[in-house]
Amino acid sequence: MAALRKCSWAVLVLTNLAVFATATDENLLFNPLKSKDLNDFVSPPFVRVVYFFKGELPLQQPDRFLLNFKQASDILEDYGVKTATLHCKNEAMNEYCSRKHSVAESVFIFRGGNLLLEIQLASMFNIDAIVSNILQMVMLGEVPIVSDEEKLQQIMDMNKGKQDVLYSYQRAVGTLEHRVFMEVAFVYSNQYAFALSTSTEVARLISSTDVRHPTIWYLQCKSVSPMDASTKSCPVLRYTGPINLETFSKYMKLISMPNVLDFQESMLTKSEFDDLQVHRAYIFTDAASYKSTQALTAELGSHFIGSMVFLIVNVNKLPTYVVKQLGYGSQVTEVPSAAFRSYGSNNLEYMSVKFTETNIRNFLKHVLDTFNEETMDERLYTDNHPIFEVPPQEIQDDPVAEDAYLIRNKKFNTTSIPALTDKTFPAMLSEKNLFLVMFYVQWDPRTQVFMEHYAEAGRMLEHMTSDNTSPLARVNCADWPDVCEKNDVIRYPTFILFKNHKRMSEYQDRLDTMTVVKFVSLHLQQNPVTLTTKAEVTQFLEGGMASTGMYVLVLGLFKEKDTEELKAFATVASDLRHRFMFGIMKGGSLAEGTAQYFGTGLSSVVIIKEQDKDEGFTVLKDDLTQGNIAKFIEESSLPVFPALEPENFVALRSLKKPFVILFFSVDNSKVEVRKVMTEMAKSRQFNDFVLCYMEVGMNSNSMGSFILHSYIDEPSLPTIVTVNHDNGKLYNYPMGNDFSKQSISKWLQGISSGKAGLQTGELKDGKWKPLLPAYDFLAMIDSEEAEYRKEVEESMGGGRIPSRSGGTAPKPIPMPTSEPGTPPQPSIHTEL
Amino acid sequence: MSVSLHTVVIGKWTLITCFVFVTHALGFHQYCLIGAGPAGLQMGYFLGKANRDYVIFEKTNMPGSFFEHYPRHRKLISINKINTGSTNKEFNFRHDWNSLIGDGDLYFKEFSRDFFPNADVILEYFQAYKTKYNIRVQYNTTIVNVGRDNTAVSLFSLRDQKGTVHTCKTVIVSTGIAIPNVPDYEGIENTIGYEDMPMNMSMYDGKTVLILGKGNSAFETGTAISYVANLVHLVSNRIEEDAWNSHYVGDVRAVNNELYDTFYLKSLDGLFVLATGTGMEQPRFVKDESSEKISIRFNHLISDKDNYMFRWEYDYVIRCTGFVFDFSIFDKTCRPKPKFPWNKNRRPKYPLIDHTYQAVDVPGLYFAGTVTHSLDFKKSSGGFLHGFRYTTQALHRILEYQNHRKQWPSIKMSISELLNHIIKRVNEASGLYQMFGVLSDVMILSSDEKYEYLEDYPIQLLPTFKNITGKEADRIIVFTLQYGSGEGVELNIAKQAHTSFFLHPMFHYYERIPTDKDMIMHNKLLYNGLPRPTKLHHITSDFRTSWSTPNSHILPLRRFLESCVGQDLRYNYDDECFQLTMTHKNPPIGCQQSYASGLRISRSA
Repeated sequence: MAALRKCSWAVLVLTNLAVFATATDENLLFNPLKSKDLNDFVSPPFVRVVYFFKGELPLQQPDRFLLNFKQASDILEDYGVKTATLHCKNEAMNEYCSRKHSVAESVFIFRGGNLLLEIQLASMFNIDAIVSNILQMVMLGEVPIVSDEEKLQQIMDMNKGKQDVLYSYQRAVGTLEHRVFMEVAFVYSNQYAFALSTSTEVARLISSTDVRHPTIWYLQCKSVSPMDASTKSCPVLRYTGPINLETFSKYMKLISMPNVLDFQESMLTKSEFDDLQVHRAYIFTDAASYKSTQALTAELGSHFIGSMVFLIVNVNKLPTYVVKQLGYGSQVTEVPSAAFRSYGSNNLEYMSVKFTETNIRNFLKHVLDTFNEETMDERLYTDNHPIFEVPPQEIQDDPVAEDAYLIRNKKFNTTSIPALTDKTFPAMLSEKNLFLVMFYVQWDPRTQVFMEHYAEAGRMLEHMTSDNTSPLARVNCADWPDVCEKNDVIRYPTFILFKNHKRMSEYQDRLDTMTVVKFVSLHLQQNPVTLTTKAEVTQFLEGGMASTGMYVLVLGLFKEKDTEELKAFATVASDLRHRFMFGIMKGGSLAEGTAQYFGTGLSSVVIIKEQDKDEGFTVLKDDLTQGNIAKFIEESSLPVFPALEPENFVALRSLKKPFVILFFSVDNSKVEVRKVMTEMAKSRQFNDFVLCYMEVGMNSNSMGSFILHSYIDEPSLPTIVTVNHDNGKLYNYPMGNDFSKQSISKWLQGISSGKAGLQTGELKDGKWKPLLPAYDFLAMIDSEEAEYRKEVEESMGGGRIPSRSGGTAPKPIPMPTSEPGTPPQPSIHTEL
Repeated sequence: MSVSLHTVVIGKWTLITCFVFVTHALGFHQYCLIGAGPAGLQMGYFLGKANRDYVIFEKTNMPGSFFEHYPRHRKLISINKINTGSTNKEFNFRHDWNSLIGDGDLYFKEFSRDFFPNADVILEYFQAYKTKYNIRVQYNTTIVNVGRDNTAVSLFSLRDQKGTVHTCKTVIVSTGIAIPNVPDYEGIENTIGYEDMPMNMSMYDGKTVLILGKGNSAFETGTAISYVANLVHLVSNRIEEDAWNSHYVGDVRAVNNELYDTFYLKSLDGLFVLATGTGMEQPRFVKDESSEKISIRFNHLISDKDNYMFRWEYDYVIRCTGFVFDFSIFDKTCRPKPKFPWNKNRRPKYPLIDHTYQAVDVPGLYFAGTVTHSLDFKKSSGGFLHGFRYTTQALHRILEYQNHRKQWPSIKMSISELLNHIIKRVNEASGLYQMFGVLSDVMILSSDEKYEYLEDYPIQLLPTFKNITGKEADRIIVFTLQYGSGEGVELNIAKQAHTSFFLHPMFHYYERIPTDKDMIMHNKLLYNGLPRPTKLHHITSDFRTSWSTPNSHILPLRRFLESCVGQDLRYNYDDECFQLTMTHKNPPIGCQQSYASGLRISRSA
């Protein structure tokens, strides 16, 4: 059996010290592994963990993860887990090293030669996270993570009459508490069943009150006989101690040993009891009532398991001097009776009331509570107890802020997004023809999670500028409020594009790498571009400088005399140049040929959508006015029958039309309906609606599935739902077997014309109340004030209550308290 | 010497006088400022920015001439902190006690690197400031009389030493407080005043000196003399207060308190209180005709005891008993009432003004600068440049709305931006930092899930919020920075933030604007000088006054704001927003805002 670490805190302290140490061996890798040995290393049927290191050696400075990983490896070895680091330098052929992204950011877990899982470094932020995550992998079977109440119920049912279950609610995987639970589970998994969940919903099955902190319950399923399994549930005991390795493993030891013993059978000495921190309850009995007392004690035993051991003192059987020592004959005059001795104490407390089960329970509960209260103060100052337990109010529940916190120490290259100052900002404005600036405050979590991707966008754009420097920059408004104010920045972040030495426009789109790259690169290129040679046309159609498919292209094909149309097109192009790439061709055979290629003639606008697999391009021939061209671009630049997803939702929603959503699963045989709806969309006959689809997929957690289930309780696939966001109305397609164009059209026409009986539901009302109440300082002040007044009243024996002292400590005023008429005391100067 | 304190009586005679004034008027100005000291310059800056018609009359030929003579020992005790580790100009203004508000391109620290600079430097600075911002000052013009006609237009007439009359709609008095306060004691003529004490230190060589007063000028004087004198005694009728302890910079500053050492280490110098109730309230200064030495006596047995503490004579007695406002320039048509001190034995130091800095009962007569310190005397920094630069700004904003219907400047945004906005102000706002307990930021919450943010608003003007700012408001959050009532032990526990000892942010939420009655009927100590709020929040004080940690500072504040608006104010990722929007009539505010701004947060793959 692996040795449990004595105290997890000590390990933490060591780790922290190690961070500051710079010994040479820490600049090298530990358990180094060569590529050729990788297969041998991972093939045994045990868990093997490999970190593929991509950096340079020796390390310029200690790498926090490597240090943690090394410490964690020592611990993990006790649990049969071997770790290694493989230096990717010179190992380019290794399949993991040659992986593009994740390799430097993940740890890979193998068993029996197979890759089980890769865990992101971001979730291995300290030693606890590493140990707990890996142990969880090792024992996924022994300690299942249950996601719903049903699963937990199954586990309990399965173990009824067989073994007891330790179930824990954990706030997250990778915490100290999770690690404690996993380490203990490793040791006791042959005696007990274990389970954990990270959802408070699941915990609700066994806890009547809401759970907020990591909690462990001891479910006594073994005591439920298999006969009663269907009717009786497992008795639940909550573990009340602090969740640290020392205390919780003591608890496990206690519940694993019998806690009702005959006094003479008790093998433990006082010091052993003290060491286990277990209290003793003495049940005095005589030979006549021994049997009944024993039965009663067994009941009590299971109730108080983990906190005390019951010793039955048969006064007739034990030597007189022994029972005398226990107070029999002096404090205990009749049997049966009970007494209590807390650990570390030499004195017994005796129960003075009648010996009944209720009385004993109350007595024991009382002495236990008293003990806990008395030791509370002491406990507060020992390291084993979380003295600064974090209140729920200070536990982050904002998903963005939470992620921002996790990556707060992550280093990344920011040279592509220089931080500008009150001097360098004006300098850049006068030097650069085009650049985008992110104005931000450094504590904003949105900025924090985006920063790395912004830097990446900067690196990608470097190659597209004439001077090969990044066109991105940033200004921290918490450092340079004056710079931000001069640019009228009032919310953070704000992105402003500066072109030709003045403010041009704001970037108002998704905060991700490619969206920024697309936006800036459209400005970097000449746009609109006039095409006169075949090469230019080819280059344009291939997407200019960027890769194909990045932008939607808009090509204006005009006759020489089309001045009005040209002007209209040029205006639209300059308005929308940050979203589309515009090309202009005027007259000539090249223009005519190009028009022919798109099946049209001169005086047309063609939208070319590389990414739309259903419709590669679309043409507008008539009424080439500014308004018409703009409307055409807005409506037709999107894929004709798009997948509805977060990325394009805003664009689709901006059309302000109801969505007609086809839900289907990929393995669905009736996917024929997709073709039907694509054709309907291409026909442009249903312009009152946005026709689109969502894949529901195999996974019940998929976005499509989640949304569909909110519309229909038990949907069958495929199905169509019309969602009107303007009035919240929902229409489920009523004819599950008939997906013909005629039927769908008829249904949509009915919805358009407001035909009765088609509406099947409506969107839920969103009531977004705060998750938790705020700290109520007003109530705190009120109760402190009441307390203060009470104290003053008591100390003054009534009378006027002085007002409370304010901000400053009052300085004693050295004034003599002389009676009127008597000369003052001589020492009235300020020296006291 | 004493100032006459008659109440203003407007009669027939006045009408005639004023008529004469108006007919002689040379020029008319919307605003006339008297005194081109720091407050005059500051007000001139704001009026100039707003393109208002104004003029500043200055009796000398330079701005800030008070500082030519004072402080007598030439050391400015307003700190000139040139480094803070921050590049944030607003934050750095928290620690710059000498610069006036400007365009961010002229700071006092460019003139001196000394932490306590020589007073000559501030004259240079004022001159540069005046030039840079083109402040309109008319030099060599002493206003000898301020009067007002009693007609509907109610114009002020300012007559200068040459008899020229200037007509003004609004008068702003920024004369400072420069008349030496001479206590009414028998034999006071045997004393020397701080204002004209000889600065040649050899005069005090081997002399025994008594100083009246225990303010900064008394300590400054005492310290300088103590290096050469036999001994220096400081007496006053009030115990001295230490600025570091009281948080009031007008109390004795540590830079001046060397005498504590020489007193408490019994190195002959001494501090003494002529406490009320001891029979020592009325000292007499008796000069021995032959030796010219002065002794201090009382009409009380104490002087007759053989161990009487003042049984030795002094070579010099110096008065450092402060200054009072010059009421004499106002004639009775518009003379402001004096503000009588709480202590009846003291003479009025300040004119009686309301919280709009206007003289009580004299509409149109305003005050700027140290002369307005009656509003926060012994509490905050309104009597000092680093405080009144903000109250002058407040006065300007009040006048802008009152006279020109220009509303108090504000920013209106979606409620989802409020958290960032507040945290930024919490970490840099200098006006709230200096004028703690006096100025506040007010956030108006509106039902359309927006907020409107007003900066540096005087707390005492909350009941008249609409009249002052021109803005409708119902539900408001008032943000102040204030010292706490804690025990002086900093634990930095968010949950117990209300027990913080040091300056820290606090937020009072009101469901309706407090009334005048609310402002009076409150327990100042419990709610930090504000009426009992509907909800209250404190951010725990911080060792480096940096309040931007996610869990201890920002998160509890978010929960407070959520409780005020009744909404979940978390940020959401784009995919969550998509899901919630597809399944609900209206998504949470975080999503609404990310759709409105376009800046959706994408979850990194």
